[in-house]
Amino acid sequence: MNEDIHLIQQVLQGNQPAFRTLVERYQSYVFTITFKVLKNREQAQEVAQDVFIKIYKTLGSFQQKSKFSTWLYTIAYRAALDEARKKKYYTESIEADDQYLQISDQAGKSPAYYTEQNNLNKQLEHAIQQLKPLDATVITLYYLNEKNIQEISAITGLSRTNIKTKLHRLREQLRIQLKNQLKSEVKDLL
Amino acid sequence: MKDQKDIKKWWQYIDGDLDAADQAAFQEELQQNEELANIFQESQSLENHLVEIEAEEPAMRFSMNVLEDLPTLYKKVNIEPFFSRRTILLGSLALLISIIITYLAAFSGKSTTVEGLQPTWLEYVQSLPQLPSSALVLAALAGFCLVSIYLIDLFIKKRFLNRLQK
Repeated sequence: MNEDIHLIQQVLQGNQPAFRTLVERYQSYVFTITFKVLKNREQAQEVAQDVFIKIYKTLGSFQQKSKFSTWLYTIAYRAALDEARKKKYYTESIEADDQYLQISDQAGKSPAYYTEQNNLNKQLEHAIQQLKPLDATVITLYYLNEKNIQEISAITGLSRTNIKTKLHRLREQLRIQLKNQLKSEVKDLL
Repeated sequence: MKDQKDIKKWWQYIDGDLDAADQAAFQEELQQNEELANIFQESQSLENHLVEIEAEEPAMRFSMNVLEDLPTLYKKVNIEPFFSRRTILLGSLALLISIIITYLAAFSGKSTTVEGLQPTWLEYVQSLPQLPSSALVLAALAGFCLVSIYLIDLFIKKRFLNRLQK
């Protein structure tokens, strides 16, 4: 019996502080998923909070067919997508499969903005944030979640082959987008 | 000019998904093709940055906000048996004391000394069968009911615990 299951049992027996442990353990991952989809911190936080409340209400129905984290992330991903559809933000991007999301940069910050700061990690973060919700979620989950394609497949509902292809394509897209910075970094290393 | 197949191949190489033969062939190709080698180095550099991706942190009060909004769905359930060992022990002690008090009340005139206790006590025990049968049946029934309630209580709580642990 893993620690998550033990905590779930504690919650079901009325031990509410055990739920706090679960929230603190997964809040950043859930928030990351909702943020990648919604691209707005306030909304993402609201949805992430609702996800935990929903989880709390339905904890008794968790069948343990998958890991608790997979179940949680799936609910978070779907809730964020629902919210995005409801608010009609990025709807086209969610629907279209082959087009990259073109979000207007509200703060007027482009990858070039970060070039001055010479911070490739920041530029990468920005570039990922520019991707359409599904793509941003896939690539973030892949690197955050120990490259577990099976779990990403369960969360997003995409096949494993589809995810692998997507990852190849997305990384290539990011490489092209950050080509100059990567080139200069490689040059510095040599 | 690279195509989709090349892209797939060098990411498979970086991910370690190529078999030994393909890996060797790819390495050889890298040595021969400078353009490919440059692109590969850029991809490798990108990969190094991607593995450094960190989860986004929500506001400090996030968990507090969640806990404040939680409905009180799961009430603390008492899974202790209704009759604990302590209750049974105290009950037995009370029963024993009541028997002694009954004995003292019934035979106080006959035995006031320690020496006289043994025959009078026997006398008391011998007098028990003379009690009306209805009283004995009632006592037996009450005892049986108490034991049954205790066992049912234990059984139900055990089942409840098992269900929670599944």
